[in-house]
Amino acid sequence: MLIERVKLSEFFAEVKKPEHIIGTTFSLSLAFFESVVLPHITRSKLRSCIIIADRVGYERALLEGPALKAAGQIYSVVAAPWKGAFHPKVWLSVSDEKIGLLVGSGNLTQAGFIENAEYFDCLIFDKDHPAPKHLFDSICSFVGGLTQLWLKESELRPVCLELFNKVETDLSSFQHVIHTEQNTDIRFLHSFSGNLIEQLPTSETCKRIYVAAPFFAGSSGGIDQLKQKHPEARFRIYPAIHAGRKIDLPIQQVASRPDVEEVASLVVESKKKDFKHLKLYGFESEDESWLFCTSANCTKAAWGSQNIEAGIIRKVDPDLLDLYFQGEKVKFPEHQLEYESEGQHAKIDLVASDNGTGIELSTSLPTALLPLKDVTLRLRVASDLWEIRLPTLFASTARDFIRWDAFKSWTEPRNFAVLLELCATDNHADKRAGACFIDNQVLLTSDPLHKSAVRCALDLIEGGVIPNLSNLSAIYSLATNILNGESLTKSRLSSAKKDSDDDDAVQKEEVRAIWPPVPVVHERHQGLSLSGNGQLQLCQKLIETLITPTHKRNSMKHTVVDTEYENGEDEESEAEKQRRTERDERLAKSMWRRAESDYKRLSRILYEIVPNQDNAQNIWPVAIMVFLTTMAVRRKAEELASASQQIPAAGTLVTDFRRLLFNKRNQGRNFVPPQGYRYRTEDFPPLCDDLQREFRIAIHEDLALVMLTIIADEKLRLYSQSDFQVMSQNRAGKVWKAQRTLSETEIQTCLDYWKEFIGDTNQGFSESEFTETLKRITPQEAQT
Amino acid sequence: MKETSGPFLTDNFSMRGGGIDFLGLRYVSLRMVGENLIPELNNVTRDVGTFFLGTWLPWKFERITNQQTYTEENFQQIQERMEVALGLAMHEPHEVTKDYGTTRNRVGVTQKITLPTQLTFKNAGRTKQNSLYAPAIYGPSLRALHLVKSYSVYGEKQKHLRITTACDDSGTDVIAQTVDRALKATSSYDRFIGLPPSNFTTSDIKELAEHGLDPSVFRSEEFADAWLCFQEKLLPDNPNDPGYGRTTTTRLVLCLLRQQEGLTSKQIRNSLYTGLLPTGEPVRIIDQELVTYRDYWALFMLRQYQRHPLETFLWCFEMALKDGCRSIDAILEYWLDRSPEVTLACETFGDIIKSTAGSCWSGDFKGCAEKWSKSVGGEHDDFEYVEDVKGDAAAQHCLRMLSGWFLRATTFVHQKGFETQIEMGGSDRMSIGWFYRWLDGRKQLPLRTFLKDIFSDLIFSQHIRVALSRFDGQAQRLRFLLADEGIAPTLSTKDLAKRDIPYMPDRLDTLIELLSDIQVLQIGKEGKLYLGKRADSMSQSE
Repeated sequence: MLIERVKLSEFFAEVKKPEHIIGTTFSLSLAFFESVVLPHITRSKLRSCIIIADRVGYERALLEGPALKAAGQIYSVVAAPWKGAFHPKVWLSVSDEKIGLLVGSGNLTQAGFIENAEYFDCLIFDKDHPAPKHLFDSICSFVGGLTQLWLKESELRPVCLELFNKVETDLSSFQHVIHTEQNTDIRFLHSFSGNLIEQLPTSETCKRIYVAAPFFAGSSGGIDQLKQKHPEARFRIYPAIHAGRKIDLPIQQVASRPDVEEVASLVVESKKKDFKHLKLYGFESEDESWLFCTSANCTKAAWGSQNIEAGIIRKVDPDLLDLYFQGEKVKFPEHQLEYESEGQHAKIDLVASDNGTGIELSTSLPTALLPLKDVTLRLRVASDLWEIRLPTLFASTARDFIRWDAFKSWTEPRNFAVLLELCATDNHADKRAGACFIDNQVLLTSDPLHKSAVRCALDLIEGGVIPNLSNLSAIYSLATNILNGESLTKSRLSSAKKDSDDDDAVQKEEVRAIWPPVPVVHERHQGLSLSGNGQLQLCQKLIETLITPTHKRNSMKHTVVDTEYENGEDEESEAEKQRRTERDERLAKSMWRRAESDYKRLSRILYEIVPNQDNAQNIWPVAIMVFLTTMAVRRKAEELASASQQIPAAGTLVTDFRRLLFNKRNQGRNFVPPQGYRYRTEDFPPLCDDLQREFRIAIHEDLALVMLTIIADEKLRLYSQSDFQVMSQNRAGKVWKAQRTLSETEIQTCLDYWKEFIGDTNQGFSESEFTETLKRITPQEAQT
Repeated sequence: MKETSGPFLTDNFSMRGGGIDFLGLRYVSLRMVGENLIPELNNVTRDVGTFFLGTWLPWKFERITNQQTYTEENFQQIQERMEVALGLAMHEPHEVTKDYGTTRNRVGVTQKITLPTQLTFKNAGRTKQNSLYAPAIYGPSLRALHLVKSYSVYGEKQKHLRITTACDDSGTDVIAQTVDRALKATSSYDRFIGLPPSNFTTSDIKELAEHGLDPSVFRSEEFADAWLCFQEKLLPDNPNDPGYGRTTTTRLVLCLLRQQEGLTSKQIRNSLYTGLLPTGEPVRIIDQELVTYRDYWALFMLRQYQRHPLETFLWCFEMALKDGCRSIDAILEYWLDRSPEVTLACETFGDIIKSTAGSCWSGDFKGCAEKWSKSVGGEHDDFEYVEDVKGDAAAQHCLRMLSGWFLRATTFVHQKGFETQIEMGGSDRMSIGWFYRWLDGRKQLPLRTFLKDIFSDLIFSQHIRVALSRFDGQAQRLRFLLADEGIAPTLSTKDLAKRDIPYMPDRLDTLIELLSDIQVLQIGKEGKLYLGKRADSMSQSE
């Protein structure tokens, strides 16, 4: 019988749509987390994702910091404020129906999750598999213990504290998955409930203990502690060999102990060549056997109060111990493992969060060492670096605040983590350095829908990144919510299924071509003119993100596709190219289909909306947010599959959107306005006029530039220079209320929008033609 | 995952490895080529004859069908028949066509089909993804050159159907008629374009090939009328045409060849880059428009030569990882051990620049850069590109290339008018300007620090950033990351330090080949280029 091998991704898939994920680790690679683990976590309901690492591991992980995308944005990663080793490898996943607990020996690295020989144990609870109360309580006390690390041990107040509260609150509502049976055959042990060794449920009369661990701190201290608790026990020891040449145990000394039966190398059949980083203990008594899968090495620090550790211990059949603990005689190396010393500078524990206007910074340094002087603060975002020097920091307390504009030419980070580095001299004239990620408070603490919407906007403006489809829907859902509270995501599954069914139907249905043939040059004209408070703030943030000037974000023009399949340089085979092309076409199609259906639905809402005092002020921003999003998706889809037949021309969408806001909205002859309706006929007035006339709502100038771009583009495309000049000027006049000509910056901004969202490469219009048209239609120009 | 009955081991769940361009530098080059230099072609659209056949098929289909028979199924049947036959026709040179040389990009020749049989993709084991009209092959170029109008037509109920249509201008008409006339002379023509399914034999294919189904046939002068029409599409006169860059590049090539015949395409690139012919003489261009486009080419090559040493440093990084280094410091030491010459003579990157500049050094970097640009051409011993640099001296070569690049770039970054190209890609993709400033700010740093910054910022961080940004949920692009013991290769990286140093083809060879097909250029032995018989059909105002 072989020991089971499980992909840890299955754990994350088991708890579908988790609301909370908490992971603890000693060392970590956040690039590994973002590229290998995070994709397996469904984020549609994810309210918090927190990784807590040991200080040493955290500091090492910062090497990857400037390259990361999601740290501080999608998940929060913090160093545990603990003086000993923070060593538990626990993953807790909580959805509204299930709790999953994964505990083991592997760190959050490729080695720990995949490569090494590591053991994990896993528990899943739901209403069909309720948790014994003691297990549930252990989980709660683990989360509580994490919270207390900050509340008791330091002045640091990271954003994750707020998230821990949410987790604790949600866990407290899980009474339905608890049963009261006192079955204690499985226990979740952790150092927050006391020394690990004291919590072991094993009997004093235990006759044999199996110890498999890579670290013994170079002594038999850990074994002695086990011996103290189990005085009759004899040991079988399985130390790991490090890098093929070192060991962390005085082998001769241990082997010669009278209570040691065997010192051998553990046989792990399916991971023979891999480093045995596992920590597994077996306890055998006359009447019971236990198997303990844990993060704890066999050291005093791990068994005692110095480290924080965790593990799952199970009562097992005695035969099972033979399966897990098979030794083979090897010649152990004589070299002992050496421990590296710390760096030159004393460290500063820091946490930082972005509250929108600046950085809230706190430190755990004692006040006697404050204030810090000659402070250098650096922000690293991707390849960019900002630096300021301050005479003092933390002048009065262990907390301080630095405005973003203190960093010259700071631009809000888009799709990247922000790493803060600090160098200073403390009050005792010692050099100190520290670093941490800056947590984005809004993103980390907002609800999943809002998070998704912001992620999508960021993905849309970035070259070479494809937005997640559920994130895409989040923007439209947000817009719908703002306008009328209806959620698009509600019926997403059913409608998606319906979409695919419809597609099949289309393929089966025999459709004849129009004769003589009419080539689809601008593709089909979709019937888009159907029409769609903190949320508004988010909407504004999304618009800001989308309309960030091109030159500020190096966005790639869409005429060239950042695909990898163009022949030549690539080393890919023909088959790979084919696969990629197929995938890109599929992605483009599904992305556009999703956007199109949501856009239609919102357009329908706008077409039918009767503005009132509550929603009138939201209509312009929401409409423009939706339009920009749709155009950005269109561009993305076109980048992916330029020859795709599914993507309509930009001009078609522009004209439909302009009509939606400037034309009368006819509801059909059979429409009868309900009682109390402001409108008395089936011809609803144009939204633009209605908002102005009835509610005195003028479009904000920033948004007006988007509308001017639209009007100018339509004029350029559809009419000659002289045709419909007045009509275009009138439309422009409705949105551009400023009694002045457009400034050069405003013209450039419109040009940016045009190039970014609208200008089709095959339209053949030059930038100068566009700007000329724009100038001609603005009110001031018209008067001259 | 069911709850397990005890501790379990872990299994691999990382995605397969894949991707190219691990530092994210290629995009800017691609954009430069696509926007200004050689738009709308790609590196596989290498045969005029294939363009002709791709035009003829939809043109013909519209003429052999009526309202009832103009269907997706019929189009697909005829398209597959033509494409499978095309693949067969290009398999080997035929007696009649061998005089014209072989077709350069033999689309579909890997198909497997035994004749006689019906010519379908299914029978040939092919899919539509390697069709002539596929996005990665001739599809976009056929449309961009106004030979194909659309890949779909309107059907009833506002549906659209996947039927390709040819453009309806006279040039397209002439090209399609030319092909049609040629193929009509074959005995299987009627079956070839017929709607009923039909079996084809080897001799049918041979005959079709000799009459034009082998695209090389259209290199024959008897098709000169069609060449002219193709040339008008390939090289548009209108500066507002998105494809106008092809015209200016062609004019630049002709301009250089008029000054020195027998240049290779590589020499042409370097002449455009340095402004110096292989003889060392300056390139003479009078036409202001061509001067601008020469600058575009120079900036593009500047980007190519920026990328080369950086990709080589990536190879260095991987090589050190492969040999067991697990930290940036260890990688640095590894290369200082392998290339001890790096720190022997020079202490800073600035020293390396001075050393590379040699007699061009005049006391200041700007003055030195001007001299460098005036005297160091592509054939010069000190030229800033060394082709194959893998090996012990890799780091040393890279530093020398960077120093030459820095001097060359100095002349561009201080000129006005190139801001768009210079800053294209921003910091994310290490634009020319960003990289220049990065080097400039580190000129005086000790060489060890300088190299460490390269490995840390430009290789490690940049690669991880690019790989994470381009992560698509399908393939793992990360080649290395932090592990328990330091930096380690990812499990999905099977070719650590085994890849060739990437170099993005720029379509110039494709354009040259198309121009040679229509005799504007002539390709001689060893790729040497000469003015073709029809070179004068292009404007000589240079």
